[in-house]
Amino acid sequence: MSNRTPLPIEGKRNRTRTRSFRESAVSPRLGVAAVTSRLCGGLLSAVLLVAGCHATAPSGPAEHHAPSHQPADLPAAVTRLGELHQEIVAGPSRPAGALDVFVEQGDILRWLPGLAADSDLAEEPWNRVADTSNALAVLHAGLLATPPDRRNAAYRTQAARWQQALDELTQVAELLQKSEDRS
Amino acid sequence: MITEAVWWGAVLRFLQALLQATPTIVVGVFVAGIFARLLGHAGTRRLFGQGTRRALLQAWLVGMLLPVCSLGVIPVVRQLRKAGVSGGAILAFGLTAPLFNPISVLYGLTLSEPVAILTFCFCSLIIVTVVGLAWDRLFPGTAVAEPEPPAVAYGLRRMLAVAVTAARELAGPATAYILAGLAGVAVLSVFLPAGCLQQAAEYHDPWAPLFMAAIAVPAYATPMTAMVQLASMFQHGNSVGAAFALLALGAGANLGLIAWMMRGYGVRRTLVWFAILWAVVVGLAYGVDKPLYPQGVDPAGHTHAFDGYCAPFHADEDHAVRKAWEILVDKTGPHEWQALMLVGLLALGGLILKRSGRQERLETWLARQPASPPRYDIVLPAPVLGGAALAIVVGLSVFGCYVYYPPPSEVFEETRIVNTEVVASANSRDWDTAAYWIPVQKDWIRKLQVSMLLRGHPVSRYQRAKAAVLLERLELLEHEIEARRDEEARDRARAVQQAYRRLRTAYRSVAP
Repeated sequence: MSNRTPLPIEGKRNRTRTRSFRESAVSPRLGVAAVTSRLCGGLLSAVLLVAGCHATAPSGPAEHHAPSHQPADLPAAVTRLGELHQEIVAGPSRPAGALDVFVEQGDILRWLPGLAADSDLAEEPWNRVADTSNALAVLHAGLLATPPDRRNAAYRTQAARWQQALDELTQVAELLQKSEDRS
Repeated sequence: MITEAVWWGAVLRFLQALLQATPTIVVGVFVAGIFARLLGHAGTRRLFGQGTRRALLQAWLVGMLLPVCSLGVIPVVRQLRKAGVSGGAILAFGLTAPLFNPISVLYGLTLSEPVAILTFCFCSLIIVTVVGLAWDRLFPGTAVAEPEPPAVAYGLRRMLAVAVTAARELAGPATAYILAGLAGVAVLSVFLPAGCLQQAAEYHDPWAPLFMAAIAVPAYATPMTAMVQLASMFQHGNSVGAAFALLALGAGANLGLIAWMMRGYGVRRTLVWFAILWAVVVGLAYGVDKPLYPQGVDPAGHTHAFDGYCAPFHADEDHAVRKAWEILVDKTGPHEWQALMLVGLLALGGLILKRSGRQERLETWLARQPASPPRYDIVLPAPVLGGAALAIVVGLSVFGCYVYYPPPSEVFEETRIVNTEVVASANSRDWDTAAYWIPVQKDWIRKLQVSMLLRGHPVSRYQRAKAAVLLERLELLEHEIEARRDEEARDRARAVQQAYRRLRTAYRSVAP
């Protein structure tokens, strides 16, 4: 099996080459250590220059800051969604600079499955919450695609669907409330 | 100024990377031995599709299957070069192998969105194809073949020849390149203060992918570590592009590999290759950044994924030596210590062989056929044995999946004990113990889901959600423990206990 002659390489080219590692700008006298040290110096200098510009020295342990409008639990989230529903149907009323009502609604919809999971809800009611919040998220995404000055009007055309979904969520929230009261 | 804390922090990072790498370094040197003494040059070139259009794809596939990291791949690529494999195929393999293996892909598919991991796999194929084709086009004829080692007699001598080759690799330039890679890790930690990268990969930061591509190369991460980091970045709503750059360059390359390329192919070619690689990675990173951003995740505003690349201690830390030793002992698994001993023994054996001047005698003895042919044994050709050996390596890594991810019932046995440790130590203000056990618990929770998938139990949305809640609660507890806040830590510990109870209930159907 052994073959001491230089072997043909790259099949189609059918060329043979004898051993050579020196066909480069690297001086033949440079060994592994020299190449490595030059490489380390060059690359690391570049890297650290970039890192120094972008990295920031931490002022303390990183914190998780929950947004102020994040509900504490599932019942609170469902209640708040109901309030937002009424607010949107009634028409724009928030002052300039306040959190947009649709942004708040979207955030709460996104948090719903996690809030539901952080409770003693069984799998079936949790699935109802997840499916309902996903369905509402699709509606919500459509609303966000609407120009802001027409969003409330667009919402009102879907108000019945929203109400139906909110009723479903309210049922689950009441179920959770009852099971917590029992325990 | 390099304080004592910074110095010992660099030593810690060096040793941590070395210990994490040793299992795959062992795999790498033995795979190199299999290529050299069993497959032979011709068999190796055939395995990598030499002279065919599918060479790069084959190299990518072989890389996906072999469980090596970016340091363990160095002995393998050295052997591939000796065998006369084309430069493009070597580099395709060298970049892919450290990114994915059966265990890490499973881990990633469970922890992150499967579509993201599969997209990353596909992007790695794009990278190696583009870079490999560019290399073969720009620098044709870089494949050289060294004379093949003499054939080895059948029997145990063939197995010994593989071990001798492995020992020689570790006593040779491969170790120098590996140490170069490790040196990059240590030096990076000297210049990056503790925690300074926690806001370096925010999703809204347009520079995040570029920055990550810049710092990732001297960093080192095993494929598993990279997957955990990716999962953490997805969980925290960090930049997906930065996550991809971290995977491709942080796990895929290191200074040792680049030093080997410069030595073997020349500085100019290596710089051109690196420039193309970097450009492709950054381009893909920006390309996937928005489309793959996870839905329904609140950006946390920070990430701990890169803490391991920075200094472990603040510059004014006291008792850095003691803490470094404690961290090293606590975080190093038994398999890593064993692999280190094996690497040490092989390297020592290789050095003794080198210094003794008996290599020729050994080769002669290895080549000497037994006096009488075997009576009952069938002599298999060396390439068949080589192929079988490689299949065994891959098979062992698949088997390793089942060992690394034990059945759900065993996982819950472990998590029950660990949860008790976490909650008890947080309640009793034993901060160090709590800080030790929380990452252990997080790891077990992640393993639970993979374990279920491996055994054919689909993980429901409900079960995933319960696991996500527990992981979040553990992270919040971790923050309170870092800040040494008594009351808050106790509250968080209660929340962890509650979340664990709910998780346990959710998984009753698979682990009664």
